[in-house]
Amino acid sequence: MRLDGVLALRTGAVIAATVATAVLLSAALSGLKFEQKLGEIAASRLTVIADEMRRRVEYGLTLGLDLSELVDLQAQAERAASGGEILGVEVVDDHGIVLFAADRNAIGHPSPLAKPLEHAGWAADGTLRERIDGDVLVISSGVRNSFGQTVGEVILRSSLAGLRERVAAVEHGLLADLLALVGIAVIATFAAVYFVVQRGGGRRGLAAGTAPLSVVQDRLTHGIAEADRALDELERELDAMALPKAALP
Amino acid sequence: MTPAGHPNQRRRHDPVAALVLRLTIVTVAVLLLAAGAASWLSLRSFDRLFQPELGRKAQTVGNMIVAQIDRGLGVRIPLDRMAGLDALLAAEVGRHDDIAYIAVTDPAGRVVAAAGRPLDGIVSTNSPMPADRLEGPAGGRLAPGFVDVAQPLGQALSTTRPGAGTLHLGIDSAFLAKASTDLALDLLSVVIVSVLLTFEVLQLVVVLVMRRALTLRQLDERVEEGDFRATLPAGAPPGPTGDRALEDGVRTALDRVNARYAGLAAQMGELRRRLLDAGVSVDDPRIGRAEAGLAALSRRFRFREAGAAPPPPLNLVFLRLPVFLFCLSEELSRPFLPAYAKSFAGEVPWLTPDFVVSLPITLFMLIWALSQPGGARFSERWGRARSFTIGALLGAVGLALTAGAGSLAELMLWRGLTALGYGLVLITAQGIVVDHTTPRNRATGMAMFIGALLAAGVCGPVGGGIIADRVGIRATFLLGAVLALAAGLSVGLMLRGRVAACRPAGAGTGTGAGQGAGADMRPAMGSVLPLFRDLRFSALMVLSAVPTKIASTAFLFCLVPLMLTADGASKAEIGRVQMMYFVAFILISPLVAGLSDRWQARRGFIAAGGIGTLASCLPIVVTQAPWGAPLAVALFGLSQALVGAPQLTLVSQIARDGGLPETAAIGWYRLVERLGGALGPVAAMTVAVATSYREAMLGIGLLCGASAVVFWILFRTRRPAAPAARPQEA
Repeated sequence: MRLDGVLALRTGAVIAATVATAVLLSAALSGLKFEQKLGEIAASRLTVIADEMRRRVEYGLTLGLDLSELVDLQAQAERAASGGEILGVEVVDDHGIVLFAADRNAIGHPSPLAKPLEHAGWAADGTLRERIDGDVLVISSGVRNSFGQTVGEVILRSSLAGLRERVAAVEHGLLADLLALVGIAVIATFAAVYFVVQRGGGRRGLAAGTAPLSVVQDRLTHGIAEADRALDELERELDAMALPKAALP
Repeated sequence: MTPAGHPNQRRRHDPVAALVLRLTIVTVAVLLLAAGAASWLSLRSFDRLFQPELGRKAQTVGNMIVAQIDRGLGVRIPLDRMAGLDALLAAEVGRHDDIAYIAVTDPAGRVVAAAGRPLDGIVSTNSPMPADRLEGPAGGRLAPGFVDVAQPLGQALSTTRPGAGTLHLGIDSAFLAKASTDLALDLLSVVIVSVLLTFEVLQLVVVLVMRRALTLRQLDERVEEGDFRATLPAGAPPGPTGDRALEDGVRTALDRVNARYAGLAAQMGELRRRLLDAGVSVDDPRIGRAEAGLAALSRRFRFREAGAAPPPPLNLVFLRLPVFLFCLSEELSRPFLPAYAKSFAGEVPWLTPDFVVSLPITLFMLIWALSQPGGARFSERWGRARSFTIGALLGAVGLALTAGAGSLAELMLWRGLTALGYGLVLITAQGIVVDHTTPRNRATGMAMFIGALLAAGVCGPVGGGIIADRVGIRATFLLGAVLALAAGLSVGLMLRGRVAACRPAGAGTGTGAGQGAGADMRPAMGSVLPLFRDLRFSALMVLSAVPTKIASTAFLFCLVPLMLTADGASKAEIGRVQMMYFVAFILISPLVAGLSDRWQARRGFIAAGGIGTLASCLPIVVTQAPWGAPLAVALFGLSQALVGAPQLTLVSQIARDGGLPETAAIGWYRLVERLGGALGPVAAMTVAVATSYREAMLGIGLLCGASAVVFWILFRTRRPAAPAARPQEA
């Protein structure tokens, strides 16, 4: 009985540990995947805004105006930046100088966000580029003139803090549920393992698979006797060969 | 893995294996329920965040479309006469996969333009929507199962009367669940890996808990197999039987039979010395007869080495977990190693990036193949436990340094070091199996060893892919290093005393026990010419063993990961696809082995395997659908499973027909096929450079298919008088 208990406890502990790890790993994977997907949706929403701004800029360029001459862009930038969680919208020229921005103080200065495409951290998709700096998502859309030359960029910055707060709140609630689930799973595992060990595979089950002691003893005796016979045979052969010294040539 | 092909009826009902199986079933059930519940909880919690975020997105897209339509309305173009409205909506639906439909309704509720599958055919009806439906709740407003985000048209226009129409954007209310196929596959992989890990650990735990109860049973089995080296642990309280007299009797009987053997060996030495002293030639038939008698006895039974302490019986389950952990350490890198190697391609502009990928993989395979004979000698000389630990240490250091490789040369160097460790560990593990089994139960021991390899093959790529996606390639290599180290340490702790007590004869006096155990693992030089002169052996090697292994390393290690990476797959996806090979292999291999034994149709299975390899390329060549690659790799695993056991049996049969030692023939067979494996990546990348990954796969598939057909035509072997059993590989 003691052996069955030890067996059930140890095997139950192994299975319970695996189940708990698998549950937490599954939840962590789900969390990461969902958070990533949520981020993608948020980014795609902001991309729509940046892309629309770019289209308007390019429409202006087709009229033959220079980028710096599209003065209505200032109002558009301010309007676009009025959306919740959007920190700023800038239109920069091909040297990275801010031409229009929701933050008027930035105008005329080089934008720290206007970097070459190969700059580390940017994920590029066509003319769109995306980067996450801490809690800030930066989306940049290249502006091209009628000849296909890149003449500037529309850069949009948005805060991810709100999204992350909402995710953290959900994860907090989820963690409590998961711990409860792990607890139930562990108890269920121990119960199931104890049942299996007791009913089928415990000491009784193992004893059932092992022959009775007398049979084991018989098998051992039989095996040893077989070896003894082979050894006897060889011994006889060797004895027959071990002739007296006088008989040797 | 339950040892297969056991000849002994009694052990087919192995209670420990049965218990482990039952506990594994419990694990599967609990895991599926628990992981399913965890996923449901996560889905339910996050779904609350998704719907508002999707609503905001739909609102933003809607604003853009409304602005465009309002421009048309501003110049008094009626909605139903607005050209290009359908095309505009279709373009927007195509651009955003989280928006299921977009529709425009006029003030009467008629749908004047729509795009998106849920609204297919809705425009053609031309009948207005019921007003209560349009003004009802957002869920299912235009299509059941979709949340409708409605935006009024013309509100910004002073010239247009309010209520010019409405723009509707539909969001799938089960968007998150439907967008989570990838996640579901990841979770399924986690469950499979967890089950296999549990299975591996459970075997060890059950045996550890039951070891006292199982000692007499194991001893009984070994004596029945003719192995008299082990004994019951001395000095312990009465264990399994509770009968100290019985246990003492067993110990005494075993000591006596070993002493008799040692005495006869000494007598034999004495006789030989006396005859030689008396001027008898070494070639005297009496000496030959006596030596042959002793050798026959050694072949039939296994006795202790002279002076060696009697070891307690070693359960090979103790070896399985370290082998599993060590192989897992290497398998973790399968999904991303080609991409990692490719990242160093810039340093060697005179080589194409694809060819650079093949170099470390080829080097690994080559060193692994060539290290086998030397590794076997090393492990005989230095002892199994020590060799295993040294091999695992080399593997761990190699993996850790691979993580920090700064150049292609360094990568090659560290991969070479890892290969050396890998080769040493595997050959040593086989040596431990050989040391602790007799020819009659060696197949069971090897099945235990191969089971660990295959389980690592399933867990490694998928686990490595997921981990690499989350924490990066270098961290995954470091994790592999830790696992390899753990494998080495666990062998050091678990096997040291036992294995040292059971060293092969080559390392000791050369008498009796374990004689030839180490030599079993080395291809004997003397047998090489007679073997290759036999055209059947050469045909088997050239037309089956080498092409099969070329395909194996080329597909699995190079082409599939590179092709999937080029198609934009994540590392986790690549790992899942690679896992399919081992899953198919594990499921099919025992069945094929049994059928090929029953039908004695090795040639047919080998030919079918080669043609199957060609057929397995089809799903990848004809479709780029997500199911193409997993199906192809599963079919490839199935084809390889058709070939493995019949090839081995034919090698053994050819050796027996030619009067050559089977173990030497198997040694050469393994060496030749591993060299073929080394050729695989280079061959694949050479073809891929000139064509594409898919065409390279097809090319290698054609090589296997054509070789299989030629093999089928050329290879003839007479049916053995007695059905040939699968050999006990060393």
